[in-house]
Amino acid sequence: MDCRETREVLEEYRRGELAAEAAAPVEAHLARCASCRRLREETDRLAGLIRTLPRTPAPPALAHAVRGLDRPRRGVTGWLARPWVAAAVAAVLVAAVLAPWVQFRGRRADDPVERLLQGGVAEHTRILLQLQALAAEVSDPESAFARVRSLTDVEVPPAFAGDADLTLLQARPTVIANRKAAAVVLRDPAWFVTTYFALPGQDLPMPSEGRVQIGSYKPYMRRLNGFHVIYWKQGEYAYVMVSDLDEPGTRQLFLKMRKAL
Amino acid sequence: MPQPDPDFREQTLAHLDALYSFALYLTRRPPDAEDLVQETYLRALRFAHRFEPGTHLRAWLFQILRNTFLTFYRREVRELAVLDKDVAGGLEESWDVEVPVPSMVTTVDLERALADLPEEFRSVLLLADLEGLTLVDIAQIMDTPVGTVKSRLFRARRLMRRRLSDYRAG
Repeated sequence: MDCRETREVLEEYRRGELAAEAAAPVEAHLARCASCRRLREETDRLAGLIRTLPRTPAPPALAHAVRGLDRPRRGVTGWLARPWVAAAVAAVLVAAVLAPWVQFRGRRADDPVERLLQGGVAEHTRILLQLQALAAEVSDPESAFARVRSLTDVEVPPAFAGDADLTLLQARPTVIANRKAAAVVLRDPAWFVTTYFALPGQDLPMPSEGRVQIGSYKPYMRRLNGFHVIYWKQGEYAYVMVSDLDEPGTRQLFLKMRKAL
Repeated sequence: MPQPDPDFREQTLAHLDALYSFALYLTRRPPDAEDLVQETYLRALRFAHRFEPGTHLRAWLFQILRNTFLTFYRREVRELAVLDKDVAGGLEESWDVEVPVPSMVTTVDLERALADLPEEFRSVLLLADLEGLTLVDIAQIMDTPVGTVKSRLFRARRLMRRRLSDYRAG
């Protein structure tokens, strides 16, 4: 058996899906070929890492809903009619039209702002994945913010702990792009979730391109992994806002926050 | 809607957590994942008579879930066409491990690298490595030959290794 033949069946082999007589020659080849062995080891290692990813169990309410599915209920059209689906479809259309606009020129992996945005989006995604388990609301914003302050030295003005439209879900310390930051998670009534990060930002630059006019402000804004991301500086702090909202919604929220902070 | 056999319903419920977890990785939003799972069950119960006893119920449910997802989120169609052309173009060049998995990988990095993958690649990795389905089951779920499942796995892992290594470097 040569390398090509081995690699053709390596996936079946490492998953135990090969019959014993077919596995023996693969084993023999692996014993003598360092390059195929390396491929196998790297594959096993990555597969092992993916197995460690969190698997969020279904919420009890969902199990209950699924058990009650005998009754006639809304079908696909009902699902489609939900506001978030409409918003998602609209967002895709908007993205298609604005595609040339959202292209960011000069995006570099070593750019501190770029790292901050990437880190912010990763953290927002992680928060979304965890929300199901941790979706308790913050009942005492003052002490939540005080705790974040004591752990990060980042001042989170209690002025923006949500309002009539926005519910505060979490305020917690975090680290994005190796910088200590406060992460504040808000949701609107339709469960569109926005995370904003506040961090000391005196040394952080403001990109010259990609800035948009929102009210009298000119923050940096773009789409990243399907989220709208806004970055701005205010006083000694830098802020990154990552939102599930559509573009007008994100802009409005920015304006509200910029004024409140 | 014909009333499904209560046993059949119970059997499908055994897969609820796995379906929800997969739906959450696909949609990234708990309310979307819940809707997707509900829609999957609605279809599964409606089409229960089409399920062939003796075949893999788990794979059948995942197939319905993914098809439902694609019906509503078909924003990656263009990407797909490119991928399949790419896959048909031969794989030998991709065999070697040119970038290894970094020695330290955080869950955040993993989730980020996974979220960045096109849906085809993300799904194939989740089904193969997180859910532990067989290649034959994945081929059924993704409605593609086993050979294509394997090429997508190879490509998906190569992309993951590159991204993980970029994060470490960056």
